[in-house]
Amino acid sequence: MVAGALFWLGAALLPPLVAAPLAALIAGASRAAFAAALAGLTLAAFAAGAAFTHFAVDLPRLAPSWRLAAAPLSIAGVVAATAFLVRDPQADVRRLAERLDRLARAVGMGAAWLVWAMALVQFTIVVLRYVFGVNFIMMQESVTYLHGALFLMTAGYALATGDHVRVDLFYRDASPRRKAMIDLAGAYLFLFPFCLLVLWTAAPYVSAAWAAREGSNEQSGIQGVFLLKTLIPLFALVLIAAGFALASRAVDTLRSEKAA
Amino acid sequence: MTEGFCLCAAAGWLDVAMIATLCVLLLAGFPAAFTLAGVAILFAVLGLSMGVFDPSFFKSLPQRIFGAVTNTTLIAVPMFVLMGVILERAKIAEELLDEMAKLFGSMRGGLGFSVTVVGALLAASTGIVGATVVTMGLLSLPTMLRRGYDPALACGSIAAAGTLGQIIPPSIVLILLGDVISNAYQKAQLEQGVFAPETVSVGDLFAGALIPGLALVGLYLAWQAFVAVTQPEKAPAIPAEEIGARAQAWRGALRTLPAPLLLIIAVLGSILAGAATPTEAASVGAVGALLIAGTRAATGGGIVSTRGAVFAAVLALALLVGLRSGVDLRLGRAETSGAETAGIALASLAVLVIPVGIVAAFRALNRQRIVGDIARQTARVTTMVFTIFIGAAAFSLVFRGLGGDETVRAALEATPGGVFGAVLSVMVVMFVLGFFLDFIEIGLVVVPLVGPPLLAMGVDPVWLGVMMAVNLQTSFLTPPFGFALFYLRGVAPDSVKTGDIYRGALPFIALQVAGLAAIAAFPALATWLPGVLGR
Repeated sequence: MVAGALFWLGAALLPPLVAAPLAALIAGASRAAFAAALAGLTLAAFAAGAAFTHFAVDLPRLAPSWRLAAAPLSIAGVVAATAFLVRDPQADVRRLAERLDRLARAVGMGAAWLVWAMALVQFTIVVLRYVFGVNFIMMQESVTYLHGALFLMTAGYALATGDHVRVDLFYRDASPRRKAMIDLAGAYLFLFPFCLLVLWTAAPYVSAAWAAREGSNEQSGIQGVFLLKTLIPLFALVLIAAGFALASRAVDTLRSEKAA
Repeated sequence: MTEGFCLCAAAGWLDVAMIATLCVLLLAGFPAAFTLAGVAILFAVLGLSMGVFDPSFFKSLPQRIFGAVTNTTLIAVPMFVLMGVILERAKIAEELLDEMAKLFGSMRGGLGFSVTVVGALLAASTGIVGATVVTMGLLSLPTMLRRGYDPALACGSIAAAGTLGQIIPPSIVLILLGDVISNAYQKAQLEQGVFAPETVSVGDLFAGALIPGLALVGLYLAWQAFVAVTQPEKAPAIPAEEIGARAQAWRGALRTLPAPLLLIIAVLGSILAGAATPTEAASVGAVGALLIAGTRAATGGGIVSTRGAVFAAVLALALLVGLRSGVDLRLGRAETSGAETAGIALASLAVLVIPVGIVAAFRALNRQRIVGDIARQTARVTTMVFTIFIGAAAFSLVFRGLGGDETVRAALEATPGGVFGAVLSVMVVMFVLGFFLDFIEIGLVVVPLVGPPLLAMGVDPVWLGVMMAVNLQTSFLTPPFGFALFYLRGVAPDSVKTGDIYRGALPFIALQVAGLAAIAAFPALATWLPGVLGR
């Protein structure tokens, strides 16, 4: 039930959220145009999603009543929220982007500390095994948990700091405008579809793990595999946050160049 | 009807189109991990709409990500990165270069020697070509130029040493390559109906790469010595009065060199001897690097107790190793003799000393405010590697689903010249890809595709891995696209012409090609050591 509600919430909220920087680029300063662009993009995202489920029959679908309700409801919500919350579309998107950027960085900088824990725990395991011949499965498994949390929770942070390697043969010498266009296109063609698809496919995967309270194969292991698997959708969410900031920065660059 | 036929014809080419699209889109410059994943999704949708693709791909996406979490081989990666970052951020690499330069500097060509040796020793754990070359370039290029080195020779030495570190174990790219090749080897044997397949491990690849790597170090040193003898003006010695007394240089070198060297030998040795898995050895390497960094950081502060605690921890570790080799310390046995009980008590005391040293080392690093920096830098490199792993996994899953496996196999089998022709063509393709893609991407995307068919033809997996590594390293050195040269250009002063950098790389490329030819002609260079150590 909780899983279903979360899934529905994500399906209704994430498409308009992700579309916001692009809508700000299209609409400029006008609130009405922003609302219209956002609603249009959201509708397009839903249409793409629906077409996608038509092919990929294995994907979980929204329950029929929700599916019918989700699109118009969330679009109505987008328009209403725009009317209430947004004063200046560009400035507001930028402010949200800054917050999401800070969030992704904070999560990543916090998770980065896990690498020390990981090395020390593994070192302890080595000493105990090598010297005294004793083994704790729970300790060994905790290294896997630390490792998973380390790289899954820092992926968004590395996107914010520009540490994901690019093939920069041409990118390196490109103009700021060209770089912004590549970042914007990459965010919408590669990054966001990937993240949304991970969330979509992880929904049944993770909820099955939760339903079974999936634990270790070993009796004395850590009985928290369902929590470890929950990091997968979180990974996608933090990446979306960092990607939103990336797209918003690109939009700013493109608009300022246009104005100049 | 016609349309359906057209679609089917197009569907047969989807796998080829997928590779072509990937190459074009990667060049645009969006982060490679997400480009890989995005292209995978695009072609999965195309394949589905043409009805030539199994939709269960989407179901397995989260399983692939979880696979990156639970992969036991790759857990070593973050800890090796940590070890490298500690050595770098605690300025141990810098100090080493400095002391070695003082030691060898009075010889002609001495600065070049120290760059080669330190590069080979310490570059191992950074993982990306660029990082190593940038560090080495910033540290040693200005010194070499100031001493009147020929810019071409200086640049060539730095670029070559920076890339060489990548293929000398313990290096991250060899861990990735080891994981990929071991999977490919299993797959190749299963497909041939061998249901109790032989395995190849990261340790095997480490052992295989050791002799070729050291031989290349030797070749580099020989070339530098040759230049120093025949053209002394290109590699001048540092005037003796600037270096100071010889004895002092030796003292400095003896203070800085043994600890990192011992650490790397211990880490590598325990893996090669089969005493530890790469993951276990990596954690010891990281903690060892922490302790070394702690003693260094404390010298400046003048706090004796910190150094004392760290040294006590090091001694305790040495005591543990000694005790363990002499006495059976295992707990929980039915019978324990008196001597063994005493040994266990002593060992327990020693174990209790280690955390004190670790805490002292942390405090020393904390005074320099680099504990968090080290963690963050390690995390950024780690997540970069694993995000590419995820993107590459998605890509190869879709590529296989579209029949790309068969296409690659057919292409390799159709290559004239049999096994030799197939290997040669793969090497040429990888060499060209090396102009655009880093080791990590090539290792994770290309090797899983070409590995199984090549191995099924009877190619030795360790030999293949070493050939690929040396080949890629050569590619990174080759003008005009070589990665190492690009990064060096970025940090070299303007007085160094791009032509100098290119010219300097040429002799090292010749050495690399000679090395490649030697490994190709005498596979035992790569396969002898793993054969002696294992199995």
